[in-house]
Formats: sequence, C-alpha cells, structure tokens
Amino acid sequence: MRGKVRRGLARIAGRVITFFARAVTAVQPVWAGIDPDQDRQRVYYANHASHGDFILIWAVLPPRLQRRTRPVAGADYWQKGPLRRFVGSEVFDALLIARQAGAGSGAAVGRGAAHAGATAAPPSAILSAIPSDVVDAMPPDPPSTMPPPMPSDAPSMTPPELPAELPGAMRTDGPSETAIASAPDRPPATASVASSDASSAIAPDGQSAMPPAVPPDGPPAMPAEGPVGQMAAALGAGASLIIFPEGTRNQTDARLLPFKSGLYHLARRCPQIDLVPVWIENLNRVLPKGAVVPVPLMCKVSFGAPLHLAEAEDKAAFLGRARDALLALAPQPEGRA
Amino acid sequence: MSPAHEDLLSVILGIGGVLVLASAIGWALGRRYSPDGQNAAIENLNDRIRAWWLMVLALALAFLGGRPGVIVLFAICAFAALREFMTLTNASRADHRTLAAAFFIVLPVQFWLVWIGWYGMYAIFIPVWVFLLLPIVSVLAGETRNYLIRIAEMQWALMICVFCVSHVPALLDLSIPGYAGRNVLLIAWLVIVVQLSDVLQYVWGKLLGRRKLAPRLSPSKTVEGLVGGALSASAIGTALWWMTPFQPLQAAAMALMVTCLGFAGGLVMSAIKRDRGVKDWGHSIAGHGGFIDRLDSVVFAAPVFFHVTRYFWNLG
Repeated sequence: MRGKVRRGLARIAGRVITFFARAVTAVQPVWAGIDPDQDRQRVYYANHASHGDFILIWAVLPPRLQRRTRPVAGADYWQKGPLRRFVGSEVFDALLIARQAGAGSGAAVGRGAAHAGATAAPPSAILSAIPSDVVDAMPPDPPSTMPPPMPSDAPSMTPPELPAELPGAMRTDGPSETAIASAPDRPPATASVASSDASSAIAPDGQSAMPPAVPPDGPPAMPAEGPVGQMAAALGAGASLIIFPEGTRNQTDARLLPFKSGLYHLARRCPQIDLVPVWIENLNRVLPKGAVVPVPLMCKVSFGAPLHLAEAEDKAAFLGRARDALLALAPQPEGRA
Repeated sequence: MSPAHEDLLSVILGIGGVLVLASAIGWALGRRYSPDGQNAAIENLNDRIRAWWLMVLALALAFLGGRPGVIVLFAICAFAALREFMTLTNASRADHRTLAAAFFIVLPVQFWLVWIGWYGMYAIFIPVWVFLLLPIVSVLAGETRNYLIRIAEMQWALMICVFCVSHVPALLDLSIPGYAGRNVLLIAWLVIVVQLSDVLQYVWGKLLGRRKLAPRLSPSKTVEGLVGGALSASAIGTALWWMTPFQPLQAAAMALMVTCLGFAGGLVMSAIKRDRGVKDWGHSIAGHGGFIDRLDSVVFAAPVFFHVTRYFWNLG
C-alpha cells in the first residue's frame, strides 16, 4: 500500500520535474542517429556540464524508453537526505554507485579520482567519477559476450560503502542482487581494467588518491567489482544507462574533457550494446556551477549514431572515435560572436 | 452580453471561418501535390495552418478572458520570446544573476505595471530603470570580456521581448471617448491586421513573387509579396474599422502604418538571425519556428500603434 503510494508519488514527481525542465529549456530532441521509436537497449553517453544533464536526456526520451533508462549516479550525493533518496532512486531509478574511495571499492573509485586530475574533483551529483573504471555492461540477449548472470552463491561483492538499504536493493526487479551475483565474471575484466589503466595516458595510475599497489593481474576482485557489477547487472536486467564519460562536470572553456576509459571497457565487454553519443547543448548556461536558480534558455539534445568497438581497436583509438562522434553533434562555434 | 462581446464573438467566428477555408485549401493542395508528404512547401503550409488553429484558440480564450486573459497570454509570449532571444546572446556565466533578474523580476514587474495600469512607470521601467540597473548587476560579477556586447544584447532582448510585447496588453489602458469596454477589440484588430499582413505577404510572394527584396536578410521576401500583402492587409484593416475607434480613412492609415512596421520588424529580426547563423528563433510553433518568428511584426508595430493611438485618441 505504502509502496504503491510512493510509486505514484514518484511518477508524479517525475512528471513535475520534466515539466519544469521543459518550461525552462523548451528542450528539443534531435534524433540524428537513432530512431526513438525503436525500442533498443542503449548506453547513452553525454557531455556533462550541469547537474541537470541526465534530467534533460530523460525528459526527451519517449515514455517507453524513459521507464527503463537509468542514470548512473553517485550514491554519496543521492543518499543524503530523504528527498534526494526519493528523487534519485524512485523518481529517476538512478543506478547509485558508491564512489568514496574506501577500503574496498577504493581501487575503482580512487582510480577515477586520479584520472580526474588527482585534484580530487568534488563529487558531482551525477556519477561522474565512476564511469572510468566502472562501466561494464551486459546486454541481455546476446549471450555470446556476457557470462551468464551469476552463480547465486557468489561472495558478497557489495562495496562496503553501499549501505545495506541501497534503494536499488529494494526494488522488486532487483538489479542489485544481480549486480552482486554477477561479480564472478569480474576478475578478468578487472585485470584488463587495471592493466589498461596503468598504461593510460590521461593520468598515471597509482596516484596518492588510491591505494597504489593494485597489481595488474591480481587486484582484489571486490574493489573494482562493486560499481562495475552494478552497472553490468542493470544492463543485464534490461535497463539502458546514461553515463558521462568525461568523469566530471566540465567547468572549463574546452568543449569536452578527455574521456575516461570506462566507455572502452564497456564497449569491450559488450560489443553488441549500442553506445549512443548524446550532445546536450546550452544546459551549462541554464544552470552553471554554483547557480541555484536556472535561467530559461533553449536547449537541444542531439542523439548520434550508435557506436561499437571495432575489431582490434585499442583504447586510445576507440575513446578518440567516441569523443569525436560526440563532438560532431555539437553546434559549430562560429554561431556567436 | 455586451455589444463589445458580441462583436468579439463575431470576429472570432470570422477568423474561425477563414481558418476552415485555409485548412480546406491546404488539404486540397496536399492531396493534389503532396499525397505522401514529399512536397516540403505544402507540408510546411499545412503545419502553419494547424499551428494557427492553436494560436487563434489561445488568442480567443485570452480575449474572452478579458484583461487577465490578455495580460497573462502576452506575458507568456514575452517569456518564451525572451528565452529564445537570450539563447542567441553572448550572455555568459558572469551574467547569470542578470539573466535570472531579467526573467524573474523585470518581466513580471513590467506586466504587473501594465496590469495596474501605471502608465508613467511601465513606459519607462525598462528604458530607464532597467537600462541603468542591469549593467550594475552584471558589472558586479567582475567579468569584463565582451562586457558592452553582453549588456547591450540583454537590454535589446528586454526591450524587444518584454517592453514591446507588453504594449499589446497596454492598449487595454487607453480611455478613448465612446470606446469604453471595447479595448480588447483594438488589440484584436492590431493582431489581425499585422498577422494577416504576414500571411498575405507570404501568399502573394508565393503566387507572384519575382523580385527579391532583401536576399541577404530574408530570401523569401519579395517586392510583390510586400506590396500585395501590405495593401490587402490594409484593405482588410479598413473594412474592420468598426472594431476600432477610428474612422474608415483613419483605420486605413493606421493599418498601413502597422503593416509597414510589421514588415520592418520582420526584416530587423531576420538580420539578427542571419548574424547568429540560425534559420528560426526556436522550434516551439510547428511550421513557424519560434515565438519571435511569429511575434516579430507585432513587436515593432505595437508600441508605435499604442503611442499614436494614445496621442490622438486617448482622453487622459
């Protein structure tokens, strides 16, 4: 009974939020590369400049897709206080992931932080720091690539930070159990994550932010697993995801920050899943950093053609290609003075 | 029902009749030339006609709602127009407070002043008070890059989208001898003449247009369209003189004035679009573009129409 009321409230709150977002931004979707009527499972990866980014993507998706599209977000932000918890997990059904570097999952998160420039960027509301090492996916139908979801007796892989009442865990469709259980496929993936990250040109691994000595071949499976497993499970359960591969909100004059490697690992793990670049235009002006009141300006959300990892494509090449595909959706800068 | 109401209803029914006719023509053209939707011009025509139904419906409801209806409708239009305009400006992060004030203080205050009928304030609020206060808010952010461009653009946006648009409902304030209670009809007349002029320019241009008037600004505007549209819209404005406090000849002169101003407004706003490299101001009105694409002519005609009427006909 209470659950029903809450669900009803969540639906209404979702309507109110999207109505408000539309009133402020008159957001216009541009379906440049995908057909919105086609009901496919996708990972939408977008430029990230504002806390409202995922709301705008969510708002333009047709209702059918909307219901199963989950933004990947930081648990530390969305679990603070009952309101955020309600909005994050029940209205948007966000996939909440712990990202405070901690004893266990610190490896994954810490590495993300190191990539962010070792300056320990303040956590964004959206799960930005995570995707780098976290993204991992499991399309439900192509069984070839994905290991079968889990032996159910898998050891608990829940990262220590994830509170027991992680909202996801209460959901009836129960992605988080899957998340935990899918961990066994992890070790190899983790190894590859670790090793490729070690060679990453973006940021040397093993900065102070993380426990440095994660041996490439023998990382404790747990650390990197938590978030990755969660995302994989969410995809495995049929959800689509919204991620921000820049890893943090872009506050610079550059149009797009370098990508973290998470997108690559995702593409490698599930070559079948559609990675759809999404350019969000103008929202950074609507709600710049530190602003509380959004200013009404017109926004556009452009969806490009889906991407997949090519055969024998290495990380740098793939991330470059993905980034270019996203930038290609951005308006040419000569428009304004 | 008052005579003003009866006249208003006949005007609305008349417009409805015109729209029925337009829809029938659009449907016939569509069947003949674009059965599978392949003729872009005809599809656009039909989009425009469909959007007109909605716009006429909104206007009719506002007119029937009287003063509150008209003020709220044009405040919403001003909001949408300002949103489109500010999107194309150089306003930067440093101007966030200024922008927020423009949307959430200046705009409501201006329409509230119109609501309470304080002519002495709404006539100068944006040109004087906001003109001076707005750059102060922006300068406090300490960002000097493009400063003059930024504040000038924001002031222009407020003048066009808020000040000028608010002069449409301000027509309700004029107290014209022998015209009491009929001011809504004056607004209806202005909107009908100006918008019909746009439509007829488009129609004449499509039918007879040869010589391009301003190819760099607006490739679709032709001399034939302008002359045909302005003259036929003025003729209709003259025929509708009974809606106004004017004599037929006066109505003709006024109609010619607002159609010319409306045309010029369209040109000016086109120049801004070309400068910013966009085709339309927005996408909110299917077939037409944005709110400013539809309002541009009214924006230029309304304040001048207001002041000329006030100067020659107003009592107070």
